[in-house]
Amino acid sequence: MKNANSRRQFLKRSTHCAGAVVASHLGAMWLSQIAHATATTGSPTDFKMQFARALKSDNSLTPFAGVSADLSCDNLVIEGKLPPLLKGRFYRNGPALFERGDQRYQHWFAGDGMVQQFNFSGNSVSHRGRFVQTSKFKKEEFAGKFLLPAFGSAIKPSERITGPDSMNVANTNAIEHAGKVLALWEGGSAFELDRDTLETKGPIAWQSGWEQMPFSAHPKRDPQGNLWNIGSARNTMLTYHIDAKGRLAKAQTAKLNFDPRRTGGMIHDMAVTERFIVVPIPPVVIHWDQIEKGKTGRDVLTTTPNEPLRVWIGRKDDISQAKIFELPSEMIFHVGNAYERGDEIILTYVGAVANDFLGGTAVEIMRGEFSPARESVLKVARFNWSSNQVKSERMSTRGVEFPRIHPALIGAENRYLLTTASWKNTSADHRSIQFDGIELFDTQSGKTQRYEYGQDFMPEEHIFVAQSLATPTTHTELESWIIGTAFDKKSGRSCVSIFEAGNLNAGPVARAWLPYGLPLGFHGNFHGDFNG
Amino acid sequence: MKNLHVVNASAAIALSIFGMIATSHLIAQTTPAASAPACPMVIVEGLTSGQGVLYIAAYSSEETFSKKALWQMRAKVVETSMQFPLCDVKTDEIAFTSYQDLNENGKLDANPLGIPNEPYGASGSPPMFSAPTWQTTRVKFDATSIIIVKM
Repeated sequence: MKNANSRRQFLKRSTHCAGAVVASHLGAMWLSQIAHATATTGSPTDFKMQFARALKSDNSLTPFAGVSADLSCDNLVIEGKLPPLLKGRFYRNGPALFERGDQRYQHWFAGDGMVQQFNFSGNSVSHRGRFVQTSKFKKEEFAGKFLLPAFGSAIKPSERITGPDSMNVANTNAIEHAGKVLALWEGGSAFELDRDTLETKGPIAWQSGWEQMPFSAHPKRDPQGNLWNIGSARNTMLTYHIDAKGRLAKAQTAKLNFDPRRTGGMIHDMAVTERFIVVPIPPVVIHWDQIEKGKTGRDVLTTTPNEPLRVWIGRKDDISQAKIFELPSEMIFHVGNAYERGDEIILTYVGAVANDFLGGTAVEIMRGEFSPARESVLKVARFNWSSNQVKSERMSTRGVEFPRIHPALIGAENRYLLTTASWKNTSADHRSIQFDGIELFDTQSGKTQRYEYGQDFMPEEHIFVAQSLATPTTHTELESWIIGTAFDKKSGRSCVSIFEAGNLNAGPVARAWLPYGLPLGFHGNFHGDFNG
Repeated sequence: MKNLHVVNASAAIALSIFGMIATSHLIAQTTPAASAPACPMVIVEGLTSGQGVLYIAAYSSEETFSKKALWQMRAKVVETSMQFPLCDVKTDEIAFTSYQDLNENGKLDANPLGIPNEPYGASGSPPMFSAPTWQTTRVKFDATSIIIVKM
């Protein structure tokens, strides 16, 4: 890639950019507090002290320090040449605020969500990042301190908890659908944001009486423009069918025939096929009773290795017709895709046999510690709806996450799976969360294309962006772009890289640089102007 | 005492938060009191003023909790905080549950998971993630008690 602008130039050109750079240092006042603090081990105050200490000597921690204000930049510095036809909005969401007063969240997933919007015009890119104004965020912003507990974080409540939305931080995913931007969490409502300003309009009840119903963070939009999603609470499964105009077409509830509180059942992602909704239910137990006692980490989030990985498959039109298949115990956060071939339902996903991420890695990073990376691989499972047989097999090497496919092939057979990946360093001391780059896996040939970002970068989830509304074939699937964000440790800034999917090895054709760094986020989606 | 509303309630209220059924067939008349009696008191805070009706009930044992009220009443919500004298209530321990029936349909509306869609509260230390129980709600009670219920 040719550098159209030197990195120094951005400082001069970014005069219309506003926002706090990711906090890399805490003030002198705070340092004096450290000297006198007597926090107990593991308290939110202790986490803040430990992180501040670690941050001084490790710039990999900078994107976990968080930001405290909204961000904007109307003209990112472009390296290379933007594809003129790449027009639309690239959304990302992730935890962005971790500290208030003398307290710091004790789990990465607890951070208050900030939705990022990169607006691609064909020859320029602008950016806006706004905190989702959840009720929790607004109350705590006003108070200047945490008032409520959050995921894996034992903040003593000084406000009433009246349901899941009391703790909803809307921090997991963002998608534009039918003109609305949805900021998504897992346990409660989606929040609607204004498409042009990212101003929060409020939580969504998809129908009367469905306030605070869980609407998960990984909805899937099928090629016809329908948005499918799930929600779960204890042994209740919810499914949502939102039509292309953003209206609820059908919501269904069903009871699971097991108790997730005992066997584990942290449902995170889902897939759709032409006829089915496919939901992996990994054996992770959330110990709510321990959370009430102020416990965190491995005390509240455990895996149950003697329990299978269950996969619930229900008919889209009637989820009372559902089956639960069992696979060997395994952790799944994310699926790639699902599709049907005869009686078989084929699911691709990232599986991890010995996963300690939830109770370990995601806690330790908040203290400023990187855990060793665990093996997580691309897998495929085949479920036979008629015979009830199921088998799974490994497809790729270690160290992948955030699987994505071409958006026009959701629910249909796809050939390529895109992941963020680590392949260079396979030693046990390799740090989790720090990926080498991105990988494009060809499920037909077993071959992999890679782009290595280099040691200064911390790449995040990358996604496919369609070049047209046409449904691709296995031969044209790579006639698309791949885009994604990365944090540059050296400069403390974040960038969006744009690749031609068919030529990933060659590196990005363009890179749009922010003058500030963003917190590492989770998931996002692109909405092309041709999508309406 | 200002803004005191005394209610003569005659029916039961059952309240169980998070997975609950809330029923009430109270027929109540509210009567502003002329002066404050020297009685124990329950104060309900955090109400949405000017909207709907407050239902509040008191229980005196684990066996009767959410089933048979020792005392109950219904009152139009006219302030963000409302207080009620408990002159005739005799018990050593007491547990209050309450809800604000915003749409005045006579029940605590809840979503299909049982999570209330209308404001509710309880005495004591309500649990974070589940319905209040006798154990979490009960408080000591005597002639000098002033008990706070936060909505």
